[in-house]
Amino acid sequence: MTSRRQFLERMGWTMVPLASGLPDVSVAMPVTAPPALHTVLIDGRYPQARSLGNRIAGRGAAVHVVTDGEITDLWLREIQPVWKRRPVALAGLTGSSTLFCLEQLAWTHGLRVAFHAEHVVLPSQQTLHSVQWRDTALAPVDERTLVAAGANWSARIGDVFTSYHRNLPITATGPSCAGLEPAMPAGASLLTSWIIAPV
Amino acid sequence: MALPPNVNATDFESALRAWRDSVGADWVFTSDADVALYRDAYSPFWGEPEERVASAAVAPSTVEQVQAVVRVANQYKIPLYAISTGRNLAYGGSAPVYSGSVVLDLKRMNRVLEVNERNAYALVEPGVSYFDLHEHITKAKLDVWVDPPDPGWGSVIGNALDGGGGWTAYPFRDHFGAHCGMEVVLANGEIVRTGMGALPDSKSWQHNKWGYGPWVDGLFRQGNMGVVTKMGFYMMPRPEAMQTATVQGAGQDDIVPLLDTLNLLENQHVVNGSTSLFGGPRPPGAPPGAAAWTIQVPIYGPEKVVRAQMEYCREKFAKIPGATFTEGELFRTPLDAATLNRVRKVSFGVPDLSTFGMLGRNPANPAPPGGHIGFSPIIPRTGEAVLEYSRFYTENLATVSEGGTLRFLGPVFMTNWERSMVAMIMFPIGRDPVHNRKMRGAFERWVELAAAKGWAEYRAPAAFQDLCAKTYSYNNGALTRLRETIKDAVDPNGILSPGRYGVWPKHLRKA
Repeated sequence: MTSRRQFLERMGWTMVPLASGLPDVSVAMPVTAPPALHTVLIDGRYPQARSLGNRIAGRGAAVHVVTDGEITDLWLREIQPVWKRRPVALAGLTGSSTLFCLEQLAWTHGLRVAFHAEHVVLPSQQTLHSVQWRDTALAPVDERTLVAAGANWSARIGDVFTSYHRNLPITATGPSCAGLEPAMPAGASLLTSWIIAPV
Repeated sequence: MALPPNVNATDFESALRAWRDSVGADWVFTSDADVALYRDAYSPFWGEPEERVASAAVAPSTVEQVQAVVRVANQYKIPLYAISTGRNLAYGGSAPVYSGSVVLDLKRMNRVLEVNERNAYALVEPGVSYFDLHEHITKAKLDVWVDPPDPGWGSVIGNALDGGGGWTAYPFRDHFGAHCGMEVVLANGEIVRTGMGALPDSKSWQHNKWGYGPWVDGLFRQGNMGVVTKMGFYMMPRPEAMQTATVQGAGQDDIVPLLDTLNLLENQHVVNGSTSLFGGPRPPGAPPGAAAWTIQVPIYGPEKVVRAQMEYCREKFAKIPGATFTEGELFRTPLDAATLNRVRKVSFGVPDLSTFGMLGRNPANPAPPGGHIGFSPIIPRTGEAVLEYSRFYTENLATVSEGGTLRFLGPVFMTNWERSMVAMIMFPIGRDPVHNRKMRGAFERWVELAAAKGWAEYRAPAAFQDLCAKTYSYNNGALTRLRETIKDAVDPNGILSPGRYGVWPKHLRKA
């Protein structure tokens, strides 16, 4: 009966108000037929994620904006109905809780995490990268590549996303450890990029 | 591929073959990648040698397949660990208590067998989640509510068996208390139905939970005496209305009359919603006149009854000098979409995952816990107990937190249960083994300190179930010994969930 929600609320761990003015998850951007990834989720609070969203949307993928890690409506209205019919790949540049929830739900539908990288955005806006997991069938990317891309690092993540094809033989899969937070410097933010794909 | 403890490779291969024959090769998991999915996402031993992990998993889809799996396990003496959907996060998730066990994954058994609107009950299988049951009810346009916990993606049966609860009215939010009848597969593969279900062609299985003779359902709560494959639950007829009042008391000692009044109202069943208690000893620098205690008092029912009950509550709380009583908005159900989006959905029978929004790292929440475990001792439901526990926490905080360097959080007093309270302390768990080791030490210290004062857990993370069970040591652990006697009788090979809630089979018991 004891509730972690009640506990968290009382300890002051509150949900973040939407700061960017972007639409929330229930308001999807215009959808066109996605090439391989069914949907790409971005956390609209971060410019790197918005940049990736624009880039992906320009290539015809459906993009959803999530703002606070609350994916219930997205899950019930968009993803679950599709996954009940067929397993389709999703990708995202979001907070870690979005990946954590979707990964747990994905397992039941025969999908796994095929790519997982963490991006720690320091108060100086310098970003530290850690590629946790990448199926070798996807476009290569590593920490050095991402650092070399500077502020444009999310474009390299976009390259990984667009390298996914429906018939790609995904064999090496997670689970991720997205449920547990890495140690981070004070004031830093964590973004997580990921692909969940059929195996 | 890892082997279960005390099982040789030949026997394990034979068992795996037999399980594949029974449930299909696709539903026996032995690869490292597949078995890794059963790790506890919030394990306080994450990545350390002591982390409890499975050796394999098998996922039957029918009760006959469960029988077959259990019989094979019995033949080869292979420990199984039964899970429903395995989303019991912070309490072990889908990882076994006894490392090397084979996970018996029941999430493919996901049929809603019956929802009876007229008599307000449901009969479900273990793989049915709150989302599933809510969807079933919504599609069938049935006028009953589920009582979702937080988050709502877990199993209805699993949550009840673990001792979980929800957010609507009593008695529905006490999930085990609101169950009515079980079907259980015993370690020898035999099927037992409890209560009225023991009658062949019973017509009242979900109408009366007690049946005839000694009641055994409690053996399966936080237990390892059998594998529950069906369970009935009382459902809440959709209430016409819900209204919450906020009661505040300014003085620290006001908690005594505030809780006495609340207890009276709940015990009279005037207040039936899940109440919340906020506050504590006034911190230094608190503004004068600020409330020391705030209680939220929800009432569900017909509108005219709710309004009358609210008025009665107002009269009762008015007898406490200085207390304020403020009625909140009255909601008429069913809520429209716009209203549902601005309220806490679980309080209106709608499951969601919004908890994870609070758990995630974000700019305004730069140091969230991520993973977490909770120490949840039961304390008496009195103001005196709240004040005593607060003093106890304050007196021991510096020592247990290593001079304030360990950031665990508490205590928060939970009034969700009727008749008792939980005084919770929560510990963040991450990927750093040094941090996790310190948190484990702090958890263990609180358990020991609280037990010395007569307070103990009602529910514990898998890693601490032995420790917490040992605090129930009256008369040289007579209760544990009784449970072990029963365990040895119904599961002589000790194959079902060894160690769950501190109950070990004979061959694994430590002196």
